[in-house]
Amino acid sequence: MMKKSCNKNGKETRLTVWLWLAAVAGVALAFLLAPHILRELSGKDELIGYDAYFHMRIADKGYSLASWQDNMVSASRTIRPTPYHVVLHFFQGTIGMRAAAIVLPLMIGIVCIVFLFWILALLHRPLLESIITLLAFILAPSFLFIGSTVTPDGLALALILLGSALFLTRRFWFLSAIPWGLLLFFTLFHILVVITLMFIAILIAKKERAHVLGIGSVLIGGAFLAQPPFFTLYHPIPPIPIVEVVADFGGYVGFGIFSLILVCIGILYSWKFKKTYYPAYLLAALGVFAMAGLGEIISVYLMPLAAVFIAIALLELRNRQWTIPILRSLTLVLIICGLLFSTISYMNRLASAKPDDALIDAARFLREISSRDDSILTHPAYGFVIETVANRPVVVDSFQPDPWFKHDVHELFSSRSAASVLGTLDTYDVSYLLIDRTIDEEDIWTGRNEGLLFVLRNGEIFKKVYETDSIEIWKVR
Amino acid sequence: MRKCHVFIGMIVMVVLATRLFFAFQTPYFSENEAYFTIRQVKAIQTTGLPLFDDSLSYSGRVYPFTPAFHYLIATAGAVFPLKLVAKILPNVLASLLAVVIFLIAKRLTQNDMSSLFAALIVGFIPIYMKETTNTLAVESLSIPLLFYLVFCFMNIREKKYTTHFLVTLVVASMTTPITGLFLLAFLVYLLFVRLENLGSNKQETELVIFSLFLFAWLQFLFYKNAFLMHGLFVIWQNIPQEILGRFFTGMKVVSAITNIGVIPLIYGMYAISQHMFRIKDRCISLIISISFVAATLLWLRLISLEVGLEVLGVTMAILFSLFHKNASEYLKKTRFVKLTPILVITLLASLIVTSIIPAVLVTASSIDEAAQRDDINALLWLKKRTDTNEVVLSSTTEGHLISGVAERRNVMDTNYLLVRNINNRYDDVRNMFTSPYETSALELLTEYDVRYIFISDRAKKEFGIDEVAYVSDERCFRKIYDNQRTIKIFEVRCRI
Repeated sequence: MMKKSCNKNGKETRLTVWLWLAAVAGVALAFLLAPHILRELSGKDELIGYDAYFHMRIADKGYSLASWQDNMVSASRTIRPTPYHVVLHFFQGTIGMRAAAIVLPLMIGIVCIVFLFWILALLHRPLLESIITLLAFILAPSFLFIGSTVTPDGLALALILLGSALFLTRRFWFLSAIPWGLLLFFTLFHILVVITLMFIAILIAKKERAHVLGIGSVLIGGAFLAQPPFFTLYHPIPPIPIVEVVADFGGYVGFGIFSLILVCIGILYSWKFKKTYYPAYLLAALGVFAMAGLGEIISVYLMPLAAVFIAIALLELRNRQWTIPILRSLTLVLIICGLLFSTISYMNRLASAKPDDALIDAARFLREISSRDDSILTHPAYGFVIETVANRPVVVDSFQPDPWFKHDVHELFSSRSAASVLGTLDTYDVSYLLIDRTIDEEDIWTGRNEGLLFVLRNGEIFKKVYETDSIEIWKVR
Repeated sequence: MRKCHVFIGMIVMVVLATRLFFAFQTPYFSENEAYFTIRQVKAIQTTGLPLFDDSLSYSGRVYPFTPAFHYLIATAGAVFPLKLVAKILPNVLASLLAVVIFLIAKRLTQNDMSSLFAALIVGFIPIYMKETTNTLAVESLSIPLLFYLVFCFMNIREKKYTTHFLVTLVVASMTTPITGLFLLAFLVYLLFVRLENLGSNKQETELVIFSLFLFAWLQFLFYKNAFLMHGLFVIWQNIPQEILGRFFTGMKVVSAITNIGVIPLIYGMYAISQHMFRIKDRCISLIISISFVAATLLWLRLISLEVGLEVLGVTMAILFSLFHKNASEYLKKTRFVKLTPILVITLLASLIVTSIIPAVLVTASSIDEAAQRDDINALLWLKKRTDTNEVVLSSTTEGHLISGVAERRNVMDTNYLLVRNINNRYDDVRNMFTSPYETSALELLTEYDVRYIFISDRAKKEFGIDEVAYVSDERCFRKIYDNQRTIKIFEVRCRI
């Protein structure tokens, strides 16, 4: 199919296509390795992001996809390992935890590029447009996120893309049931993504209605049997405000601001062909809707679509008859600079992302001085590190499904009453507190010496057992 | 030389003379931010670079800003004495706004008299005059520059104006983030043009696309860290909650009338209604788009009241020229044509009463708010008698005086961007002034490493106190300066 599409305009040979793809993959490889190299150069050997520790802990459990009860948080929860964790377990066992955290995301990033290229070829997009789409995809912060950090979203996206590509082949459409079927082990959201894609396939090609109905019923039946969680297990709740989807505005993962402007321009330009592009508009609208409800992580799934619009915008700006020719070159240079700017900026953020060695050392210290059942209270973001490195239960972590626990912890952090603090500590049977004074104070306490920091002064209740420049560990007497 | 050129020259001279008269009433500046600008200018003159990494502000921090204005002052300051440049150059630039507006109005109306009226009104917009006469404010350059950008955009079919537009855009983007308001207005204008079927102009679209990318790129270059730390809230400049309302307050009719002038406001709005629904013209649509965007952003509290009213004031003055042109053309068709000179004089008189006199009054009052000799003497004393690394506590608004005049480290000033936990810090400063308990105050003074407390009437007013309660303990607080009137400086001798 690839050969067919590429020969269509009579210019590109199969070799040229593969060479281009290899070059793009090479660029992607360089971008994906950069955060790790920068991190290594700055002497940080911790995994990127707190979530990585959570996934590592799940992967540690082995090759099973069976769910298990996680007692490392106060509100015990059910963990459902995904195929990602199984693959991660394999890599962990083969090349070690640190290498697995680099190699697996890297591989996922590269296969996402290959699958996206395959889809574009199957949709008969010209080679130049496909290459620009891939480059726009590579330059997105979301791509760096899935290709450099430990996250199941990367594999989920790769499976969605692979399934879509197989479905579009027509000859092997039934094989798409395999990658899409694997999504049953992720979340209901991923199944909904596939069902939406199939719904759009019906709109585009009515002949394939039977295929869609076949795979659709398998998936829906599978979803009833597997009963995957909706979306809460692997992502923080409540969802982050939608403005956070711009990575340049501090979003954890999201679009670059230049990408967003280009997407808007791409949509405007493609509007002339709205009858061709309406499924893409529909997908984009649903994606924005999902993002409003589920947070910035949805940008990972929207990025291939955004890359298509970015490519349209760039090609239109390039091919347009400019009345001031110099402006064309200047605009294109500015856009490339802007896209690179977002990417490099995000790369630096990943390279310097927490956790840092101070937290890891503190967690190791906790492991030494505490007993296995001692419960630790710390900022929710630090929960995973304590669970994995210290191997101790925490009161709350970032993926805490029950908001009431977060509410309790917030109350505890902001309370100035020793009695109330003691009451809450008793309720959750807290033995140690891990405090980081450098963490954004306004997130936790509204004023200096307010809340828990004030109560900690009480030597009769608390004893400081560990202190560095930023981190303190207090034992509850 | 044409008659109207002589008149516009006279208007500029009158505006400049009025401004300089007020600016030289005091050797100091009306806004303490001016002392921040002076420090930046001196840094540029010494090292060639602004002090983005500022060791005195907040006792050491990074502060991003667009430095074109500072470079301009530094360049002029290299030729002439900086004290004179800081007083004269901003006023010269602000006075040139009259010329720019004359050109725009002339382009719109093709009528000399109407354009001269617009130029005169702009020269005396109360809020613009108040905010730029004795303040060394960036707006003295940015507002004329941005309206010149608008003029170039109107004449974009002429090749030379394309170059002018591009150069002006780069300079404006490196002068102020308010350039974004104008780019947004250009976008709205393109939308208007499309909706009204006024015919598409490819060149305009291209320029707007290019401008958007250039502006976004430059802003990210300068404010990258601020965007990362504050996200979209960077619009509110990380101003502490408690004082945010004062900066981004909504527009009230009375404040609009007093700050813009009643005649340009009323007739400007009339011109908008007339042109929105009847007469379709690209250039007028552009001016209306600017008014529309400025008013909307003011309404949504996304720009400061001062900047919003300044932009609105200028656009209203431009639109007034349209009203004047239409009214005089109408008059010519009636038997009252002989009364034209009387009507012109009446209009001039009412402009004097409703715009020029209020402008002069508010400017005079702003001069009264300038730092007083007492303040400066106390700060110079502090500079002479204290170690260079010491931290001085002052009110937030006086922070720039501490770093600019006394050249000592402050706890807080009015540049809030990129400061972590800004609300906590503001609360701490307030508590250090208002706390009745010595122990809790000393804890904070120790925390911020404060060695001196600068107590002025302004600080007392800002925090609503008569005196700082705990300084009466002579063991821990030694009075080292007292001018018996407004300023006291205490040395902190204890630590917790």
